[in-house]
Amino acid sequence: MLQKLQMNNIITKKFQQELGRIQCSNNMTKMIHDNKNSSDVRQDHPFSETFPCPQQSRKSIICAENFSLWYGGKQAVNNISMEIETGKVTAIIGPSGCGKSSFLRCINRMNDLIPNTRVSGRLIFEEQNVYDKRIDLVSLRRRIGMVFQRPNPFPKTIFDNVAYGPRLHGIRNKTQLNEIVETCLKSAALWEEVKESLSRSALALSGGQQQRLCIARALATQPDVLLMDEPCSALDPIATGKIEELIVALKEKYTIVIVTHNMQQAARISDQTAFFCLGELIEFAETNKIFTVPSNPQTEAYITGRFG
Amino acid sequence: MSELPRRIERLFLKLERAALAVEQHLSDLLFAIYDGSLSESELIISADEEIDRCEVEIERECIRLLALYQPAAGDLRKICFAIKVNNDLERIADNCVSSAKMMRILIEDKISVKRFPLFRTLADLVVNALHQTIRLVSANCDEEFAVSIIKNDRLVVDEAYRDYLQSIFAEAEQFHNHVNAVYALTSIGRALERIGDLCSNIAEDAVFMQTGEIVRHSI
Repeated sequence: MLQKLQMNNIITKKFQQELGRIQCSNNMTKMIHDNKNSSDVRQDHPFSETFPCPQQSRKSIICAENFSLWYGGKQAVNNISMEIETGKVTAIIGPSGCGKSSFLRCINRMNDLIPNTRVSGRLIFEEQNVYDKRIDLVSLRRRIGMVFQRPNPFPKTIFDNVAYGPRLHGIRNKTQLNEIVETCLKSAALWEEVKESLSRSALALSGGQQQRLCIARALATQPDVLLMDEPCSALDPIATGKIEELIVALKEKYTIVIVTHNMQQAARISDQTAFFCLGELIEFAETNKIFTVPSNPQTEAYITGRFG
Repeated sequence: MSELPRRIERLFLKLERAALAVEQHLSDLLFAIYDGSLSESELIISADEEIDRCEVEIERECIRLLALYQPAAGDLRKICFAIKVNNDLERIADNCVSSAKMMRILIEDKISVKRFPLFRTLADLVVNALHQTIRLVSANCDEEFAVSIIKNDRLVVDEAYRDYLQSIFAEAEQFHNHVNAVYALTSIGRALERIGDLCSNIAEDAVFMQTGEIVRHSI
């Protein structure tokens, strides 16, 4: 009998605990509901933040304002307005021929080398229009370095490849050059692999090493921005992985703009992603948002492989 | 149409079949409870193996799609939804099985849920919640509909569960000799309440699938 009474007490306690739990849960629901109704509540989910529109400037190093580019009579870039933030990796994606590489090459005026090109609108780099007639192109390209699709080391030694830019800018001191070469090769995660063979021809390196050497060469002029035009498209997955790790490490010191056809790569390494189509900027937002909840149906169709 | 959308479509057909099997599981359970049928309850326990097998198959397919296609945007959200719903459906089936196991105690103690009319209220609400939730899996229901399921669980199902417990509590004096049966009655009620919660989880995941917003803890 005593045992049954004890059991009864246990059940009563359990009931009270259970009822208390429900009450607590209902109160919590009410509190959450009340909070949601208050005006200052912050929607704290990963996809709530979008990149501000171009007018809302914040820490941007490059800003395109209604920028267009023509190759002869053909318009390659159409009225692009976007801001590229300092210290971030910005990926530009889009189908072939959509103007992403053309836009990238405008940032340090590489397109000047192509005859019959003309531009309209403004492309601002640190408060200066890069298409201003007074701009010093050598200085501009020193501050905005570029890495191309195929590794293109000079037919010189590894050392000379990296020292080429600094020498061009008047640095002759051997000790200083040694320091620059070592620092840049370390930044490009190549030092450990080549430190014993700096006098070897750069052409003897593997594809991935050559591309990292090109990055080291671009870093040697101490740029603020690194433009990368499909830097991994000619590399195997291991070399690609190394370059991707390098890009993520480099963003602490440099602003990086990368054009890529590999959407997983854009998703892995970039902070912001711009989707171009037929020369137009369709969507520009945080990478997380672009690859999970894109706002534009065209972006959705492209990144899910239904178009392009 | 590329291969991935087709495979996602097939995945959702499998998910829909699993959802319908789970719904059948719940209605079989309630039939067994009302009927006091031990053989029916044993059928539910044995049928769970098939649901477990489906769960593993769906999960494997989701992992395969993630690995082979690296989906993004809507496709990624759909596969994430399938993974989560698959898990929730299996847990609903598990709750049915645990309730079916409690049936033996009720039958031994000759106590029927029919003594507690509020059990029926709770059960009907949960059956309806699960039915509505399955529509989220099988059809493209809008966000508003999903939110209504979440709110229904928070407000209606939880309250029905509390009322049901209170009704048992009110009669607790009469159950001195049936401690195990009381435990079974409350456990079955708790399992139904958990099924309501899982329906609400599925509805939250449906909102994510459609809008990309994680609404968990915020509705």
